[in-house]
Amino acid sequence: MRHTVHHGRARRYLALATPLLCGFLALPGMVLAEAAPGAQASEADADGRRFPPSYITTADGRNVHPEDWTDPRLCGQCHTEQYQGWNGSMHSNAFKDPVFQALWAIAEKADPNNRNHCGGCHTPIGTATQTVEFDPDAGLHGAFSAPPVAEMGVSCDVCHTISGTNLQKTAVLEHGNTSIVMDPGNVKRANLPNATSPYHETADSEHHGESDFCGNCHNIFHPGNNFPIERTYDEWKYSVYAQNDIHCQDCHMMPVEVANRVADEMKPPEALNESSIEGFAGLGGPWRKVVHKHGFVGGNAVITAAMNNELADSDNPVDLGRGSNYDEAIKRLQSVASLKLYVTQEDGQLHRAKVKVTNDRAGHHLPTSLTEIRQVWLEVVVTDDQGRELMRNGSLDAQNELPKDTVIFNSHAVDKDGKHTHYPWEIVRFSTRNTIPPKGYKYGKYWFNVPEDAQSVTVNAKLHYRSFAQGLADELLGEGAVTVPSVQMVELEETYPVTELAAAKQALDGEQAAAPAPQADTTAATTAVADAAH
Amino acid sequence: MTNSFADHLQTLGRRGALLLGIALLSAPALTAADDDGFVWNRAMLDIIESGDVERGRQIAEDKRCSKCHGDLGIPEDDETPSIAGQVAAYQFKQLVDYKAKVRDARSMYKVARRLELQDFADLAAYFATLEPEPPEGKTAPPLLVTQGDTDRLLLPCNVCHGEQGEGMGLQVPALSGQKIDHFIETMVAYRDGERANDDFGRMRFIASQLSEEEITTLAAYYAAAPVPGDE
Repeated sequence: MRHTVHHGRARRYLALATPLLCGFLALPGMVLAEAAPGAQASEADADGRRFPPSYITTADGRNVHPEDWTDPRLCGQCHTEQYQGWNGSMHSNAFKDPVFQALWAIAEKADPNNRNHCGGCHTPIGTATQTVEFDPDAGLHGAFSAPPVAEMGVSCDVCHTISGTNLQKTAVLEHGNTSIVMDPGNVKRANLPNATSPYHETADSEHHGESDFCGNCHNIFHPGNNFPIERTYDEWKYSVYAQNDIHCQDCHMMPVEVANRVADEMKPPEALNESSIEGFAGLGGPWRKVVHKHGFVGGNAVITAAMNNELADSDNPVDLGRGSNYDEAIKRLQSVASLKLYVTQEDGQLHRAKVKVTNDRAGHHLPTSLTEIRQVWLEVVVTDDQGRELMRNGSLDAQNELPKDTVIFNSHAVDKDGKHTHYPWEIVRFSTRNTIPPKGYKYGKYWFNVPEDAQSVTVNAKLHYRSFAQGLADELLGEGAVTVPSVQMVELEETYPVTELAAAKQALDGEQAAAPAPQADTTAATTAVADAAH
Repeated sequence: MTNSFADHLQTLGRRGALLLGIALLSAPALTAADDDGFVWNRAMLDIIESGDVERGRQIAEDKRCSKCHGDLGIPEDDETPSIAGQVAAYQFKQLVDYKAKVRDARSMYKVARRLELQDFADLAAYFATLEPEPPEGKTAPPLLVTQGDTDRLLLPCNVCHGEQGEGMGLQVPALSGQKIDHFIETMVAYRDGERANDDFGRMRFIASQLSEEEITTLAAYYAAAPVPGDE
């Protein structure tokens, strides 16, 4: 038996009739149709899923309704600081994000099963209640709607009523594709020992303090071919962060300054004695040594900013109070990576610059998530002492696009025919993957000729980030709808006397074994010699 | 309603950012916090906890607090706040806010400006030990007290202020036995934005959702009996 069908709005009236209907349809030799979009499945499919291809289940398999979840604005009456952090976060925008809506609409038209696959994480309430509606004629590609509490995305009560994980039910036996057990009700769960509330029951849940919790959504594999498309949780799981018991929450629910210390010292926030993270978890509650922020800030400053601008004049309360997450995202991007330069003379006038990009502070790859869409790239410009530009690479063109030969840290996704695609549901593999693992590094390499009369060369390297390319924005939002902004993450510039580059080359050619070990890359001479020794 | 809450949230955003910013910058700098208004942080909590009841009684006597607030923190009129049995940390915050002019009251500023944080802690500790006036208690709790109104995003009053209006934790003041006119004036001041020293604008939002009649009903439930003949 596959799914039974209830229309969301007629849910209560159909509840009694459903078993009879199912019994009638499930005659020998008959196969029930796939769950129609907008319908609530009341029984599980062959894999035990009620809302396939997502792995959402509800506690005791009960039917749930939007009103079972608390409006986050009510939560905010007592947990105000947490509410404000969440409001304007990507979690709060998970459903409304116009880029997501456009991609989801295209996905829906390609295969209606994508509604639950994408919606599972972007509107867990809408998916578990099957109340998401799709208007194929709205906007450029179509638009989804849902009851208000479901449109609030990943809201307070979504996470704090999750009672378990379904990782053992997934096709890859790992967290992902919304492998959550939803249990809306009066019991609110958090990793907060000895919590009490006069308004709701509380339960201490270690799960809420672990990466495993986040991995239920931040780990996405293709529902058909099981290819791991978004591997944020996996990337963490096999990193030094996991080995040191540093979880997602320890960085993404902390101020950037504290997150940086966590990454640098490999200690959880509790061990840092940081007074800035003390506070009240709720009104009237005790003072706690660690109170988690709820902005869940990552690198997606683009959508955060876009949503801010779009909704600045809105009179919808849930759309307001959104300023700080953008700044936090910028700070996080600008503190996550570092650059080092190595310049060598290769042959005569031919020189090479190597730019080392290190992922210093992300507990997952850089970039992560939709790596076939995200763009982290190097822009490198080499000039000489007479102001001549000897080489330029990675500068955005007049169309806000990157040149073909840009060194980009991302993935190149292909479909079943081996053709490039940026539609997640079409991906069968990555033909290349050039993301930077936690604490790992990768190089960009550049060659250039130095004129004979040049006395020195200056290498300027910048690392940039943007959430998606201009072409994709044009496709999803409409031509010219937005100019995709970039964030300069880090910049390094060094000047190298040409004679020293040549001397270093001669030293290497003459006595490789005697070349000194690298000490620092702050001078041209040491850099050149050190690199030559490699 | 929606616009009010929108304004509220915008205010929350600015105020929250301000509070957080101050908290991050001023944790070790108590004198700065003294001048800028109250900030919840570990250092401030340590001072509050160090409040000395006997010293507070002496300061109250020296500063003649009884002239307005009565001999035992219960004034003889209905406009002056009753401070007997008030939550110490809340009381401390009010004194800091008076000194910083975050809470506007000329008479209290004149008193508070010459006192230090430790004096505030001692005073708060002393008044917290005094017995509050019993509430009039003639009526059953209004529904707003026990059930709130989620359509207006109002939690029940007793969720935060306690089953008996005794206050809760460090932040939430006791309401039980408060002077009736002061109760009403406070709610109106919150509603009109004339008082704005509530954390995150919580009370400003709540008051903005209440009608005059509801405010009066709540006051009648929580407050002490009116002083006979007091206007």
